[in-house]
Amino acid sequence: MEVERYKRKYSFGEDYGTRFYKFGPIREKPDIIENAGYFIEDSLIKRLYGIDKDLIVGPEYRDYLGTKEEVQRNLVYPMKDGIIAKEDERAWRVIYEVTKYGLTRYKLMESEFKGYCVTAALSAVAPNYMYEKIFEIHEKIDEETGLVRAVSVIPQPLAVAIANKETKCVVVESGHGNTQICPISLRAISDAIAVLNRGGAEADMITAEILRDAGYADLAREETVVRRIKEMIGLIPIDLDKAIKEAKSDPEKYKVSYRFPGTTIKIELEKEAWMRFLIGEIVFNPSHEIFASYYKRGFAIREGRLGDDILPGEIDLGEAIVRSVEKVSLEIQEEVYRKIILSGGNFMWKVPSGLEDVACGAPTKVRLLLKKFDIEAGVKLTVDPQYAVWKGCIVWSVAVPLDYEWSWEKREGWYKWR
Amino acid sequence: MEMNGVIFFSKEKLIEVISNFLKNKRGWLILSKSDVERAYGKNIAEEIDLVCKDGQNTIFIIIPRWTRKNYSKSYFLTYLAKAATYTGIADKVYIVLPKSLFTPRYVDGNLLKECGVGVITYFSGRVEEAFPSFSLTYKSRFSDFSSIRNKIKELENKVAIITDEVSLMKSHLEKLDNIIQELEAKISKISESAVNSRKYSEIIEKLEFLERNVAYLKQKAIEKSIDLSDIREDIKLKETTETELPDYLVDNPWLKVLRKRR
Repeated sequence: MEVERYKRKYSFGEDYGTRFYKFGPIREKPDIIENAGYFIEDSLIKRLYGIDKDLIVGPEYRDYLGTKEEVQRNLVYPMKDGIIAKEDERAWRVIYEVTKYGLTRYKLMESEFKGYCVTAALSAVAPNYMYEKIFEIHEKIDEETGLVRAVSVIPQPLAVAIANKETKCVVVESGHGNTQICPISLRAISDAIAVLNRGGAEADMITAEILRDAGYADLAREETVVRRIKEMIGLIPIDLDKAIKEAKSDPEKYKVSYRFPGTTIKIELEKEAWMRFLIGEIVFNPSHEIFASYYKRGFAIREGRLGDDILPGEIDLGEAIVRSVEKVSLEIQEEVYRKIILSGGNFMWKVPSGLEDVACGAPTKVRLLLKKFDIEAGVKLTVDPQYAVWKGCIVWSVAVPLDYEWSWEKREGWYKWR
Repeated sequence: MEMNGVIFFSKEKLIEVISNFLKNKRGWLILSKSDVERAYGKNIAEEIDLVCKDGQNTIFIIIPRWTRKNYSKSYFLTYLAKAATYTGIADKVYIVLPKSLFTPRYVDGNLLKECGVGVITYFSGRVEEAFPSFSLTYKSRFSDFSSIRNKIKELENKVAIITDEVSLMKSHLEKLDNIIQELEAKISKISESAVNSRKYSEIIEKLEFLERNVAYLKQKAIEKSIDLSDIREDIKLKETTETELPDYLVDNPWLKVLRKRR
């Protein structure tokens, strides 16, 4: 079979997210499992379940979960803000098992099948050793199963740009632990990639503080409860000062109550309803003076990085984008500002009906932040936020010629061993 | 020599006279000294003057040496006491006396009877049985003693046998005791293992219950995993043509850009 036809049939995408691993061959959407593994420490349990391995991945790992303490000890999510430490053997074992799980689910018996052309997506800040490990893992799996013909690794923001069909743009990917700003011009411009050490986690922390201030200290300790409340009540203010003033003057309009389905847990915010805007604001502009009182409570944001430069932890997102794009060639700056793509769960905010005059979505907020720098930006949410990275991987597999050997200098090409 | 009607013979002469009487008048057989010594031992042969046999009966004849100096009742009693000691050995025992001494003055008839000793007298060459020996009674007593002794011996033998048997039984009992102890230990272990086996049974029941649950959960997991991604081993991927490409591949400028990568 001709190579290009072969790749159109046997391309395989892998998105190693912090929470989920999305995988599968060329099709409309991928399979999803948690990017996690559960280590079974008790040999009796292994005998009981009739299994001979000590690490379970895939949906069935939930069948083996034990006590809270055991889960805390043995349930491993290998990606921490997109990074796995080189010496973290348990995390790498999970990656190996998760990858093998995904590939073997698409084991083919066809005679023309000589292994998938796999493109894996890692965080934009993943160091070289992570690429090496991914190659190593795929080579090993191929030795065991014959399922991998070649591997390529691309940064997740580049995959988002590809899925959005934008060749010159800025992808802002914001997850739970960090936010990456990645200018793209036919490839990811690695020197211009900015990483902010803040994301959904900071919004969670501010939500917990609000719950404490409102008298729900017990709920503030439950991570899942806090996250759910954040999603239900959080609002991005168009202008925080105005929004607070408005909410304080008309608390009835902004009051919110939420009861967890099937439980007696219920929260009500009326006088404190103005605080809902803090949850959204901290993602985009933690430098606002109103957060000073929270920082005094020990709430701190670590510094970010832009190439070799350091970015203040509280830098507003608009300024961080500007600083990143300034690293890009002047000729394309205007073009990339016009195509800012927001990706990741931390940008998925709703505007409740009736609050459109004070609250907005993430693209509007970013646009407003950039306006402070006299930049008329075009900002949009990624298409298909859940699967965009995986789709970009498939496009990469299909399009990049198979004879394009891996280059460490360019961080591109196919890594092959056969 | 004769004095107060008593003729004093020499002992040898007297033995000869008495022997003749016993042989001729009574028909008893006089045993020689060597026979007596062989049958009854040297002491008897020296102490008893004549030993006779009357059929199965053995008769001891004691002939004291009577002189003027020892002519008294006490001398007779000394011999009577000596004779009485032999009534346990011989069937009859006689003391030979001069007839003149066989009077109540010297001889107590009741005492002779008590002792079972008879008296043979002689006078002027004439010998006669003056008082019969009742030693048969004693003999029977002796026989009783003998039988008792035999019985005792038998009993002793039996006791010895019983003792041996008891000793043997004791040894057997010790062995049995050991065996019982071993059995008790084994029973104890068995009862322990019975308790354990009950516990094992409970554990196995629990394991079986859990296994059923696990099988059920696995089945559920399999059902879920089938939902997640259609078919696996027998999956056949379709070769996508330009017109069948997923939307994200259609009109994607990156295809052109990436195809030029070298």
